[in-house]
Amino acid sequence: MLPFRIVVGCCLAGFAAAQSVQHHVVPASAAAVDADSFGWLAGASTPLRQQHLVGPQHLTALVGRALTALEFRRTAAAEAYQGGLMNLTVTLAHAPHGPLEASATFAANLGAGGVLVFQGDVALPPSPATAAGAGVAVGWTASNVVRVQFSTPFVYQGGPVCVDVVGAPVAGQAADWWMADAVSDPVVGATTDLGGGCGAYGGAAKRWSSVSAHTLLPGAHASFEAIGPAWSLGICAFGARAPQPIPLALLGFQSPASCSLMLASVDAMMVAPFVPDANPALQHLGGHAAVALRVPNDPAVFGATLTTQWLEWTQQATSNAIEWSVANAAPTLGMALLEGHPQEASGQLTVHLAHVLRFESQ
Amino acid sequence: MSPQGGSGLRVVGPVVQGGTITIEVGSNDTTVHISAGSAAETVSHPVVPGKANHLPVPPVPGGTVLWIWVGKGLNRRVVLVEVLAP
Repeated sequence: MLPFRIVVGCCLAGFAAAQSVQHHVVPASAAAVDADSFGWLAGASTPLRQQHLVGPQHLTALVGRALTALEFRRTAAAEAYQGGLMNLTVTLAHAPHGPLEASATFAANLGAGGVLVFQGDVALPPSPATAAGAGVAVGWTASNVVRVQFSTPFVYQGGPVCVDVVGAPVAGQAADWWMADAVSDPVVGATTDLGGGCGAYGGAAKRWSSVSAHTLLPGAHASFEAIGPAWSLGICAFGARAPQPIPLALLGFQSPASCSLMLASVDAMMVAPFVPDANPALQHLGGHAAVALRVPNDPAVFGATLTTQWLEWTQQATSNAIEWSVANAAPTLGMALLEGHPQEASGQLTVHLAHVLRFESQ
Repeated sequence: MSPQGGSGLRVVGPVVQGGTITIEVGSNDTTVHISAGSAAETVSHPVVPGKANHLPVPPVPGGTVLWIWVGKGLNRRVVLVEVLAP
């Protein structure tokens, strides 16, 4: 009888292990301590869609297991958060690509096999203040955590995962400022403002164009922005930096004397309209033009340098030129975050910033 | 002084001429824009990874209302704050 008892015992132990509830934090470095950033949550204060792409390197412990809940932990801050209630729709999918191949279009990251794991109301707990600052211990306690208990488990089979959350506050129960913990990647590109701007925009320095160094990463969408007259046309030119400014009037433009071309060559041009806000109360802020360059996750572009300068058509004015370089390495975060309005097909994509997630699995 | 704004974008503390303005950005937007009332006076700044941005107050008279915004389309967030004389 002894061998039979041993077999039965082993079977029971194996069954118990398969059914045991486990918690898994992504990224693991933030399992017990606050990470270095924070982020709002879809539906906490306003309608919002948030999509996380999580690389498989974070999820190896979950292969073959059923994911049964998702949690977000508050960020460490010396500030109490008021509670609230939001309505969420949560879909999980085996993503068709990893974080560094993420799309700015929501549907492209979900693929075809998404599983609706939850739909309903979720509470944001009233949360007392904590010690502040990255590295502070913050527990996964009820008052610190927004928990989404799945109604349909998601069996993880390996590869990148897309976590798609569409949320809106329940009327009268919005939580104005309930920030979840988030983590950023230290890898960053570089920018140098070369000047050369003119025209009526950008304040005294005529700095009416910008690019964030945190979008100059392999796998990111480098975002070049400019502010100008509503519905005018902007031409965003890319090329090599000129050794010295070239007065635009010398090239036949009817431009103010202070307008200078800062490019020695033009390798590419993209056109974008200066779109005003749809809200009439905000239209005095002018138009906002933006173009995005997909930076391939390829060592060939590591450290690549170009200069960008805009031309606004109605004034024939140049923007401040910006010399920029792609980071010398790929981000190691292994996550991407796409945020946008639920009524829009695309949003703002970052590969340097994402929430801290905790999966419960069985 | 209570933060001004909310819903993903807010200003912490008073905004005083010649001082520093602290803008917290809850979204993943990478640029924050500060306008002294008109598009012509708008200046853009990158959002730091820690999300609490300490930026110089634009050189405007006391009483000027600053328009601070992030995002685009339906996801744009705006906060208005008044610059105080020291």
